[in-house]
Amino acid sequence: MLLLLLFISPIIAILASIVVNKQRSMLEKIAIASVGTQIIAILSIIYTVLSQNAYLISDTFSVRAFEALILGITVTVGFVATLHSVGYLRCEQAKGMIGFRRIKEYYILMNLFLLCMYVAITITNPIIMWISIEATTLSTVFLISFFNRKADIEAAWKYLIINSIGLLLGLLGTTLFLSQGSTFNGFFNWNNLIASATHMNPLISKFAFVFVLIGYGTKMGLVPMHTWRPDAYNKAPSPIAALLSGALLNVAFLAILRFKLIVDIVAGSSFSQNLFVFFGILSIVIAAFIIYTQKNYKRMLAYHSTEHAGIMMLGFGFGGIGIFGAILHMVYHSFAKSLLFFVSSNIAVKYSSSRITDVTGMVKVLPYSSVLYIIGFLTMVGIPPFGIFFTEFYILFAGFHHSPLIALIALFSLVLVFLGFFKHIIEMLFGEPPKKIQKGENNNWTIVPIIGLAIILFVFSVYLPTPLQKLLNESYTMFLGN
Amino acid sequence: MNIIFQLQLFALVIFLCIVVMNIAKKNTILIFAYLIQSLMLVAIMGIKSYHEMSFEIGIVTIILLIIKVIIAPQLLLRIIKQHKANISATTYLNVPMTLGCLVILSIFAQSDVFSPFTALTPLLRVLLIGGMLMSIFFTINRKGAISQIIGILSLENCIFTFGYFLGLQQSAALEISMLFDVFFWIIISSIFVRTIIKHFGSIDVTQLRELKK
Repeated sequence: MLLLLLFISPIIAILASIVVNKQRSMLEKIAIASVGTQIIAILSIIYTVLSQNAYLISDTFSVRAFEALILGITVTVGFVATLHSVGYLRCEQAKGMIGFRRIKEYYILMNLFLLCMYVAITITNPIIMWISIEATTLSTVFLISFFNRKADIEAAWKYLIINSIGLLLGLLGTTLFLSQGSTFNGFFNWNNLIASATHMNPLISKFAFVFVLIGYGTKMGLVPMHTWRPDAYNKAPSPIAALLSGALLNVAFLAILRFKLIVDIVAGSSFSQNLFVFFGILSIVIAAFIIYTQKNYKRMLAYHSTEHAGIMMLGFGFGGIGIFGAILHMVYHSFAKSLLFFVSSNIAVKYSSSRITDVTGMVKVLPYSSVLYIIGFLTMVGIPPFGIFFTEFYILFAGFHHSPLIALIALFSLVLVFLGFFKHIIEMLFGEPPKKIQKGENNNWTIVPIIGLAIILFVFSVYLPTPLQKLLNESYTMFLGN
Repeated sequence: MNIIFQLQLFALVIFLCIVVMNIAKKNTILIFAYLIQSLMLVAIMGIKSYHEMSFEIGIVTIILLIIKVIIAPQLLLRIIKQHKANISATTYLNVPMTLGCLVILSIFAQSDVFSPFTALTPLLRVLLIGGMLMSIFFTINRKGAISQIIGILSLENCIFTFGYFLGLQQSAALEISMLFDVFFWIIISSIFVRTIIKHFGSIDVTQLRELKK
């Protein structure tokens, strides 16, 4: 019933948005009501998971602690993105960048995007999960080309082609796993696969996992499959970039981790751990150097997502307490990165540019946004008391036990990211703003939801509520294999 | 004719279609090769449906026929006709180099690296794994947007065939869901090709240089 509510609410919102004519406010109300319903449904699901350890619907849908955590993150980012979109789209409409039809498309596609993510998280069948993740590409590609300019079309095409090839390789990996597993009436699920794992061929399973990692790693934006990301994040409306980074990244990671559980049984955990460490450190190092020399603040955030995807991979690669760090990192990264993207949308609307050199005197022009940007920055670079300090500490601590040299390289890269980000943020915050720019925030819708998100981020940094702690601990235990 | 021989023959035709795609210059030939490739897939599914007396697989086969043999080629042909884009964009590598790469990929597909796939004969390993590698190579080597679409669809056909030969059995509902996913992918990518032509006046993806500015 709860999952039905979760799936039905975006579907109703899509259908209702289709029939709305020329009433922007009606579209906004529908979107908010839909995401509000999704919050209620997900909170109830989380409550069930906490009290009964799992929320199951036959063999088809299953939500355990880790899925509940990702659902919670997704709906939180989705809720703030929806509220922020109201103000953002109003600004873009006022500037004459978009008309009613575009706004309608935006809300329809955003709801479809959320729906696909919910299905991917909760479904137990690997093929349907693949279809759902592929559907996220199809639903977001028009959002990336939203403003319909030449560069937007180019970024969207790049996104479509690279992700499609990547996901087909993911499908190949999935096919290889499934061809060795047993089914129930032609329907595979994770439990069948895990049960069949002991009979699987280790070499084929290793092949399969590499393909899965490349496939869903493309969606995560891991180096070297990340090339679509800076362009897509730069050209997409920022609330969509926030969802891509704060929610979809986790869903793709969930897919990889599910297959990791299987390959660990077949081939031992060191195989997947080594791959995770390799892709993780590669992503961190490459992203760190690019961030340092970056000239575009949205692209900088995109590379920052690649870096943090690498950190999470590294946490799972190092194992032990690193896994706990990586899971908690997922929570903080999603909230902080989406916060930075929401603020970026305020900057983009105000300055009509995404170049760092064009943005000066932000403190005077956008005072609240500037404070929020600083909070986002402090969180992302791991300054205490913000949570990422602790998660990176856990991960590096595990790293110094597992492979000290890799941990040292990661630490150096984190310092480089700090320096690069700091240099850019100082350039943007201070100095004299361009004369033609009107001072003051765009509207309440573009600032209040972000303040709410910043409060959540801060509270979670200094205090982990018991339900969240329980979800984290259970997820950690699951990946430790106990 | 022996059924295993028949199936291997279909796999061979699928492979040859990819070779043709890699060396053909005209978009119509690419689409025709894709159509033949998809038809082979339909034949494989048709035989499976007949032998297992399965109505469900029959339905999957019909949907496969509609989406891959009728709709996809039609959509792409219409774009070519409307925009007079019959000659495809050039490849990054010339024909001798392309053929050299195809030979290397075929040899690689037959190497010991893929020996764990004991369900496949050495010939099938070349045809299926080599076919997948060649489809990826085709997508990378081509500069035309339509070629890239066909490359991805060809890769998808190869994975489908590969799954079949590995003995992957899944419900008809899942197969149909995947086909609908492919259907939407084709629709969306063809919309994008039209948009690219509208904005850039060409289907050559090397003309897409706005992001570098």
